Amino acid sequence: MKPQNPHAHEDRLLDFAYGELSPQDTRAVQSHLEGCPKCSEALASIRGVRSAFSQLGMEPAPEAGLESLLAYAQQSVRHNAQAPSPKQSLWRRLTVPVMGIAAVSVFGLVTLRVNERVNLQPEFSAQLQKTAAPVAETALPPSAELALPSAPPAAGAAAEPQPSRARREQDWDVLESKKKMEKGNWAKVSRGSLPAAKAKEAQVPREDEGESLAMAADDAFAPPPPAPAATAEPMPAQPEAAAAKPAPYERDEAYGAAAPSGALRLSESRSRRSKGKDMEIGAGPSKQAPSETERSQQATVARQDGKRVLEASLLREALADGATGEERWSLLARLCDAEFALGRREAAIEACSLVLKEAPGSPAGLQARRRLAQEAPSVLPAQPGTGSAAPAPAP
Amino acid sequence: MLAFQAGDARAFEALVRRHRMPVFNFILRFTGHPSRAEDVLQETWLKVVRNARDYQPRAKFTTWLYTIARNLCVDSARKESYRQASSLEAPAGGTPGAEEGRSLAESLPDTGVGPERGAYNARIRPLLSRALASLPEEQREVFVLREYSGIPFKDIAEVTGVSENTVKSRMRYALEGLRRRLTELGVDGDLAGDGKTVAG
Repeated sequence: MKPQNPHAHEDRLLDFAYGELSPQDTRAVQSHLEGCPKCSEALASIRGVRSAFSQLGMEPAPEAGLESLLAYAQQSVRHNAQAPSPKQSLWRRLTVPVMGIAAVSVFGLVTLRVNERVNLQPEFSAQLQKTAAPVAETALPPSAELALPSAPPAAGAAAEPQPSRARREQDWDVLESKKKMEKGNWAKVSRGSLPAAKAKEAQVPREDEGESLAMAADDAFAPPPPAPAATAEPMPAQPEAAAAKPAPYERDEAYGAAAPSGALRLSESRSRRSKGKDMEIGAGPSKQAPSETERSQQATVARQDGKRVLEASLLREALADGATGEERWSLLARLCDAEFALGRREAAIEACSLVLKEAPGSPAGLQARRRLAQEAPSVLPAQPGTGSAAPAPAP
Repeated sequence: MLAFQAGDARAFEALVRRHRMPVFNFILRFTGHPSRAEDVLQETWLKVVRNARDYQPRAKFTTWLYTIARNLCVDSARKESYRQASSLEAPAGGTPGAEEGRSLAESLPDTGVGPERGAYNARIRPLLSRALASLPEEQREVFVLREYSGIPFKDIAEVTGVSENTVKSRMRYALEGLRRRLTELGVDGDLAGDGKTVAG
């Protein structure tokens, strides 16, 4: 027996006395005790104390409270059977607060968004009309537009009437794209800081007047360039062109779902116009179909829908497309009316003055005169036969 | 215990029947007061029921049970010391031969078999009880757990939260102290009986 510490003997004797040694160790200790009187004496001391305290014996446990204890245990078992397991309880303890917070957050966001839309929708529409006017005035000088030379009449060309529903969809798409653009700008305007880029953009006149709306739509949707077959109005005598002409909705499908019909239509007109100019320079009278009638009809629809900004833009484009005669005067008179409605007084006066200058006796001239008499009597030129004459603004 | 965890109330009754007496004796020796021992015993089993979900099978049930009982004994002893209530030794007061109050040994029923044995027990048990109560608490609990409850030293180390070597060291000190105390009281281990032990 080789003790590792001074008490190793006694520890092993304790284990031996209480029977906690393995049989092999028990035999080893027994053999050691035969030749070690000190360890034998220590063991005898331990056994003597144990013998003495065995007299205290084991006392019986009281029976009081046993029945109530067992009843409590049964009740607890029933309660535990109804309650969820500890793992579920822990899981719920963790997930329930998280889910609750998430639900409250989603509800709050939805409420905010709904309130935002409900509250801002009328303001948004009003702001759209208010801000569209100065932007258009800055970007598109009315005088420059109206001073454009009248487009040469497209001989033999007839405008293709569009279905009313398709036209409304186009107008709606264009207006929506414009709203998206202007909504972004409003956030900046409301903070009182118009970005330099926007200011620069507003100061630079557009290359192609009256196309601000079309450019906005093009920028927003970026449609592919229209196919020539889609832009050219087929003549009845040209079967190949007629065969290539798709239906209005088929054209939209040809460009894919991402190309809205409104953007397509305006792009078509712009492309048609530029193509017409090219033809003017090169091949002379062409098969280019004039679109002023179409634009005039679109403007009518826009007015019926209360979209005066769009109406004014379409009227300008129709004028720029080369409307002449009665049609031009009628467009000018309608433009005058639309501009007055938008609050763009100078542009309106200029349009009315042009009508009065070019055809004072026409129905459009009379309409323009009435409009001027209502809105700006001071600038009304003198009627034939009357002495009072107000100087008309320079065209 | 696993059966009781699974919802078997009869398993709990079996546990109570098996462990109630040794646990009660441990509590009784630890506290030294029969009525407090009954309260602590009842509280121990109630705690077993309430904490049944927390029981892990990796631990012995006896270790877990005695850990609960021992902690409740410690709490009870602290409360008692705060109240400065009379301890097991308090009623003795005077000399060993004087009239004593009802201590633990006197309050316990006589388990002897014959008149002579009963008379001997009546004489020696108060002395044994007094000797046991004179031990420091940490030595007394180790001695009681090993001698009366039969808990191995390794498990006692778990119950008391100390190392096994510390437990054995405390046991050695407890045996030496009891031996001295018995000698002082005039009780010889050889006279105490026929060499039998309680739980060893």
